[in-house]
Amino acid sequence: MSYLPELRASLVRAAAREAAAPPRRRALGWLGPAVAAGVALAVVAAAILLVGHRGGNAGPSAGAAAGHSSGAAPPPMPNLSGAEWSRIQKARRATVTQDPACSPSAGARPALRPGQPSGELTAILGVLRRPASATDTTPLKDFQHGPFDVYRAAIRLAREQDGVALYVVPTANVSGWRPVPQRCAAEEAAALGRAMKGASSKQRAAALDGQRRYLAWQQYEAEHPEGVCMAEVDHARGNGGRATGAGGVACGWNVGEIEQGLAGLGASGSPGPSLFHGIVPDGVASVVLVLPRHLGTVTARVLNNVYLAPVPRSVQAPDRVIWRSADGSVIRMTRVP
Amino acid sequence: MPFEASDAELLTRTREDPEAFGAFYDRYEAALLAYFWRATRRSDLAADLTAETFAQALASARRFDPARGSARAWLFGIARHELADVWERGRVEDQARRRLGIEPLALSDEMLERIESLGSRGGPEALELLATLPEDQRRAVQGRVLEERDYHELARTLDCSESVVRQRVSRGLRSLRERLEQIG
Repeated sequence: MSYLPELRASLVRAAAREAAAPPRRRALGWLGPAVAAGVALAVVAAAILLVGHRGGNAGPSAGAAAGHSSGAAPPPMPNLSGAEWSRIQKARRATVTQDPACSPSAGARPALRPGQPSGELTAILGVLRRPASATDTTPLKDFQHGPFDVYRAAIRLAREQDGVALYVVPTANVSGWRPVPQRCAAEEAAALGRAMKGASSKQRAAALDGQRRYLAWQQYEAEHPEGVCMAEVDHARGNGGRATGAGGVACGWNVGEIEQGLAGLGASGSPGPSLFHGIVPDGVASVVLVLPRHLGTVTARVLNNVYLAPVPRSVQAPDRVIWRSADGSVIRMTRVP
Repeated sequence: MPFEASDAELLTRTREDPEAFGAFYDRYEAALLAYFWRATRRSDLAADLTAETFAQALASARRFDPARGSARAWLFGIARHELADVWERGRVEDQARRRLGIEPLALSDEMLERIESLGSRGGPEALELLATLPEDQRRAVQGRVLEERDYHELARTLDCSESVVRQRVSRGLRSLRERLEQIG
């Protein structure tokens, strides 16, 4: 029995009216020239901001494992409050209503696809260059809950330890986004500016800055769609690969994130000690996990670009991960988020 | 209306069959009311927010993209935006309802009591215990269980991997269960 039967009936009637109505058309009316002028001004402002931002970018941190294959360092995902995020999304919705090309959604994608990942990805992950073998077939029957766009023939078994198998799963688009035209950033900035008309100039500037960083991050992710996911199959618990506890499929890291040491960080849900794992680029021979609360360190060998290290159950994640080359020199130190 | 239809199918069919949206409403009415009641502790606000959320969902059903995630996550994403608006502006928006011509809600005392009963079911102790969890686990459990967000989105929000989020949720729930058992 419905809690609000009148609301239900009202919604169904509204759905019937919507179904009967012709599709909405974009209509700017007399606002058109004003909006166009505002957009033009915002484009100039955004361009100035963008130039300033790029000029001040420090680039990849010293000590990265390999040269960044995809050009500039990826912008970090901005840490936005719920209210900021909500405002940005509202501005997005307002923009997309007027200019559908500004929707970053890549649309429906297949779970599996033929083909191989590009050279950008295989250049840093040797495991993906290895010829396929029978063991590379995951028991995952499908990826109906994601990831999507998986290069089926390129999945590789990377590690197997204590009943836990880890597969590197390359995908054509890990974010589900597509790049949007350059004008969209200015249109969204204009929409956010309109929505914050009554706010102080300081508040507006802060909101626009958060939006700019968010859009830059999203556009970067969309322009670098290829990446990897990690599928964990816990044979010990017979979960068949679907997510139980910490098992299942974790996604998705593009080349920049792999090179920054952010890929695959997580722990399996196997009984006994947690198995902490991560994906590293070629050239990393071992990793040292620095545990929290002065619990010491754990060193793990890298095999097939993946390390798997037992850590005490009480440890959710190490504080830091240090990459070492075959000669023992430190390549990179990453603070685990 | 076949009961086997997925959420995504119901949303797609809404364009031709308005009753499909009614079926979608039936699936999530209680979950949304409970979600909003737990967030606001007010039955009238919970009803108002539920109405606006479903109206927004109906208005944007054409744009729902199953490739971006489940319909449940999408619906609760709208719900979170509505809730954020309330906290920001101090009132419930009614734009979608006005645009769609949906009548204002007339709430009886009995309806309000039923909503409160629904929202408070099995709740207060667990909610208080939730506050005792370590910050990372509390945010993960709150996001996943109370706010119904998917792991992918939570991982991005909390700036960590999905595996880490899963583990935090799993451990947080285990702690809550153990503590509830201790309480008896």
